Amino acid sequence: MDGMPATSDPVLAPAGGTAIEDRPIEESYDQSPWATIVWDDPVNLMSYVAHVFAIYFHYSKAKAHRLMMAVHTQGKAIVATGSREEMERDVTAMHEYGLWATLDRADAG
Amino acid sequence: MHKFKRRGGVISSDLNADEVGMLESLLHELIDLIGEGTDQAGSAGDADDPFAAWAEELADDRPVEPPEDPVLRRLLPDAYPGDPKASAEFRRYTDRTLRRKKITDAQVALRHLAETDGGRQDLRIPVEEVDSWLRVLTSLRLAVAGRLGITDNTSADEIASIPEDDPRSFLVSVYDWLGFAQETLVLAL
Repeated sequence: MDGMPATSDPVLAPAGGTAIEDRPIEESYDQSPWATIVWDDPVNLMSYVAHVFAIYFHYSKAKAHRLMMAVHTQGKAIVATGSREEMERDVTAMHEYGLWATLDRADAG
Repeated sequence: MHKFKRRGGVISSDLNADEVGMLESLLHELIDLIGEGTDQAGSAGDADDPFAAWAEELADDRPVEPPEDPVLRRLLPDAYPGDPKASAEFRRYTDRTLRRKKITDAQVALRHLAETDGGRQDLRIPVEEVDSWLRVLTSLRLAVAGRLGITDNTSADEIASIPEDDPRSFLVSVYDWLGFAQETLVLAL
C-alpha cells in the first residue's frame, strides 16, 4: 500500500452494494466455508483500505486497521468468510472500491 | 487544492481551473476505457428501464475473457486466479454491472465538477455521494499508476524518486495529487 499514515476516521453508514443475480440453484449446493482475500498493491492508500473495510464489512476502526496492516505487511489477508455466494458478493464490492480481492476455500493454503 | 473539509452534510475543497480541467479529462478517458467492448459508454438509456438492462444481462451467454488492457485488468480483476473457468463464469455475471458502476461513479464526479463552473466555485460533494468520489479517485489512481508502470513496491519507489526533468514528472505529480485528494477526502469523513 501507499505509506500515507492511517487515519482515525469514524465508521460510516453502510455503502450500497451492487446486486448480482443469483446462480442457478445446482451451483449453490456448496455451503462449505469460503474466504474473501484482499491482496496488497502498491497504489491503494492505507487509510483508504482501512476505510473500505470499516464501511463495507461494518468492522470497528480497530479491526479494519488491523486487517489493513495484515494486508500491508503479509501481502494478503482473509477479510471475511462465508458461503461462496456471499464471498463473491464481497469480492465484487472490493473490486468496486478498486481493491484487489479474490476468493478461495477457507481451508486452502 | 486545499484538503477536503466537511461542513455538515457537504465535503468541499477549492480546486483551481487547471485541476478541474485535469480531473475532467482523466474522468472522460476512464469512461472511454471502461466502456470499451460494451455498448454502455455514454449511454444513459438503461437508467430509465433497469429491468430491460437486467434482462439483457441475463440473456448474454458469451463467456467473458479478462481484458487485454493492463489497467482495465487491474480495475476488473480475476476473482479466482488459479481457475480461469471459474473466473470467466464470475466475469459473465459481474463484468457489465461492475463497469456500469464505475462509469456511474465517474459521471457523479463529472456532475460535481461541472457545478464548480471551471473552478470558480468550490467543489462540493454531498456526503451521501462521497463513496462515488472515493471509488473513482481510486480508479483514476490505478489508471495513472498503470501508465507509470507501477506494478509493485519496487517500481512504486523508483517512480517516487525520479528527477524533475524526467518526462514522466507531470504524470507523477498527477498521481501524487490524486493521492492527496483521496487521503484528505477519507480524513474529512
